[in-house]
Amino acid sequence: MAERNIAISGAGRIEGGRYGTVKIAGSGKVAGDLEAEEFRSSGSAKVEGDLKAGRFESAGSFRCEGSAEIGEGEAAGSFRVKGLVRTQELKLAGSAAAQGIRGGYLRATGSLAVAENVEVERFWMTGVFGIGGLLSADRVEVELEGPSRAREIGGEKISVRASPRGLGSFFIFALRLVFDKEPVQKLVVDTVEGDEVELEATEARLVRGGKVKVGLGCRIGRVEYSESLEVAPGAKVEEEVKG
Amino acid sequence: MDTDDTMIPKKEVLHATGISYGQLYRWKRLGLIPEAWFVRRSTFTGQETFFPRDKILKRIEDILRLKDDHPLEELVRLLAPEAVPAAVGHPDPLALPPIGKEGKGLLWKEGEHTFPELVALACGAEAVRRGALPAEGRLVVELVRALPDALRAPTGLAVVLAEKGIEREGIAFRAPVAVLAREPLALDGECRVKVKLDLERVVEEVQLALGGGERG
Repeated sequence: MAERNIAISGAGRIEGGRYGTVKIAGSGKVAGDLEAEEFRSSGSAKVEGDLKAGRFESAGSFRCEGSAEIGEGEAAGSFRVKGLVRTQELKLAGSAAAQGIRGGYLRATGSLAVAENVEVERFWMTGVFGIGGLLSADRVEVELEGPSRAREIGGEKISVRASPRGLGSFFIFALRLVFDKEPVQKLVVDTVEGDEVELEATEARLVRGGKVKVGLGCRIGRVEYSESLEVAPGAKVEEEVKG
Repeated sequence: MDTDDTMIPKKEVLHATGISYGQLYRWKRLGLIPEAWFVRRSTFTGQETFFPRDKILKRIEDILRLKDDHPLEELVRLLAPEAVPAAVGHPDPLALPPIGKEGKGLLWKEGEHTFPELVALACGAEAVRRGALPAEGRLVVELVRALPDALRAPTGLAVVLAEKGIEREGIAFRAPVAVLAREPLALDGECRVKVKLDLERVVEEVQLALGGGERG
């Protein structure tokens, strides 16, 4: 049986529950847990409980007070989830925050703040991020645009690059306004572990891997590698151990 | 430095088993290696991750042995059913040895039972085997059923069936109490412990019974 659809245009508030499509244009609030095949919002949306959506689209501001389970989703603007985000595929552009993220594919552009772990199959980030716990993916690809940090990064292939400057990204612009200087493209992390690790502009206590490349702007306390190690001129590695 | 040889540092796990970082992190994400086994400790060079030695080595050996014949998601069901409680079930709980015929008076429904429900029944059935009355067994089942999250990290948890003696206006009676508690356990002097179960043991027994066919 098809679930009923609901639309808010202007300002409105709906009760939680199960729906087919939920569409919000303007400002909408959902009281309680929401389950929808499709959730679409432009403007400002707030779910005051858990969200479960097969398909998710948000432009503007989205807030969820509980946890969010999203099949496939895209958010542009501000995306804030108090609890855990589970997803098969999620694309975030703008400013995003969550307690933790788990799932398949995560693409983020802009800024990402996660209190605990990000554990996905593929993580592709352009911008700045702060991850309080572990960032883990089969493939971790980061293009740094400003100061970022994580406690640990682990996976199969890990690549961190300093994004070329002067591309006029909004975040660089914003950081310039706030700090009145060029943002420092630097990742600070305690430990990086991967089978193939390529780093730029990274400050780490420990890097472990099979094939390790330490590039421009890196300062690494100790590198433990099993196959190969390349250190770019100007990069600093205090201790190298093969084995 | 740490001299505790029940724990093994991450690097040694990789050396001893030959697995890659990619595999280790992938298996962790899938729940094949439980979160609770990753123990962060300080060493003189900084934080390092340790694992319970016997468990991690056994688990990795199992994964490596079975992974060519089963997709990884299937392995999670076989080896770590607590990570996917909804995906594991059994239609006939009484056929599983940890539950057995003692479970008969404890059933509250027929048909498919989820993993946490099977563990709850196994706790109740074991309590009955150790002398609990059927009503007390049901109390244990209700208790464990209500706390499925406890099964994800059962180490050190005990399911306790106790009796409290109460005397009021010349009438003395004993009331049963079921408790899920972390060891060491402390109860007041009027309580008598009738049955105490190691939750981790029960979880393992149910896992073994479910995966028995495949494990040979």
